[in-house]
Amino acid sequence: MEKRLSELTDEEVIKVFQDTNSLEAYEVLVKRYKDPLMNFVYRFVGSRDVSTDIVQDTMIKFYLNKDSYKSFAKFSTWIYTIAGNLAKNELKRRKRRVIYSLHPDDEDRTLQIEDKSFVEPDRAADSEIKSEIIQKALLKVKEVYREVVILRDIDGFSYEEIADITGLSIGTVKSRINRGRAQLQKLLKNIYNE
Amino acid sequence: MKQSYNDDQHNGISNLLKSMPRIKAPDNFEYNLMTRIENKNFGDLAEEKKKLGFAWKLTPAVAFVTSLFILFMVWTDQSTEVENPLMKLPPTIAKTHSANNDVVLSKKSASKSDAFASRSVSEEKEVASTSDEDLYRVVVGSNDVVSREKMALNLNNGQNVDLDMALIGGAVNPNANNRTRLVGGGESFEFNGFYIREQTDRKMLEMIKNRLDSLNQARTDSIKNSTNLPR
Repeated sequence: MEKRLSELTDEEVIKVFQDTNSLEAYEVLVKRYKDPLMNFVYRFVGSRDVSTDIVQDTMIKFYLNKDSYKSFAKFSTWIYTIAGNLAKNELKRRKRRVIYSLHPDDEDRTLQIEDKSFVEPDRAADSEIKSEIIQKALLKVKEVYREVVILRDIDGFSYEEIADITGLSIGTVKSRINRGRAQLQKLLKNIYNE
Repeated sequence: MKQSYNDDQHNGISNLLKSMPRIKAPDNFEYNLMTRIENKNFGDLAEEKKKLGFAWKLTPAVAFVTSLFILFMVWTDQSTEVENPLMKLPPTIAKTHSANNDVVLSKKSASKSDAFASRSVSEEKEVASTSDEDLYRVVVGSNDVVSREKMALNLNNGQNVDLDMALIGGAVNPNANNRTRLVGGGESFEFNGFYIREQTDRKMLEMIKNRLDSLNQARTDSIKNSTNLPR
């Protein structure tokens, strides 16, 4: 049964789950999406523990609201929408407590990261540290840009899928991706020039 | 200073992001998740679902009540629309006339209410005459029977004077049908309203009188002269 379920597409598996309330079908989808969602949420919020909780909540929401999924939508976009909304809520909660020294809403402001003190160039060669730098830079990018950049460049979604996930038009998605990349490029100019 | 970026630079960023290691969920992720589901430990998420379900059930009712309220407000607003007095047309003469009649009638009935109280058997509603010769009054009895009685007027026919007849030396007493009326001419009298009486000028009167006297004198003289003429 499980073997057969694993061979089905996401949409077919959730149909089984909706019809039979089968936990096996649910577990198949959890296995498929726990890691991609974890990666997406971690890149968005920057904390493993918080990301784990968000992905857990995403799966619980999926379990509780399985009937709200309609077959005309892709399952991946549906579950990424849930995860994205929970991640944004978490960031809003954080914003109430944390005072940022950087103003992420100001687009014209020149974004600055400690260029030389941030990490030494020879250390940046190390891939682990490099990814840490990128992650920190990513967290400095404005939220609305960050989300679409992650979905496009890290998770590899198409513009249409990103538009479905975020509820934006394709034009807005493209524009935001471009702006997000531009901001990121500014922030990463030290290691990017290497 | 604004920097310009080309596609290669953006591709570089994309590649940089793609090269980042994939973060994986913890090993006990599934175990914890299934434990939560088995224990129904959904935290705030279950409450959210309940809230959403409740609101969803109420949505049609809320929409219906809201639409009714809007319709009521719109309808009420139209019905209570105040007419601009400056744009209002003045009442027509006919309306004014009928309104005045209503007032007169009501006054009549009010004034007669005392008479109704004093009369136990019958009450007089209205005096009506069917012709010039006889006058009748309508009497409403206690059993709501309406009857017509001939009115006997206490008028002395001997005191009536027909001025035209008196001037030409005819009969002084006019026809009994025209009693209590001042008879003058054969045409119907038309009342044109009251006029202010002008004070007569004595000098003017003297002048007119003298003129008339001279005319009379001239006429008598001419008559005398004509009679004295030799034939």
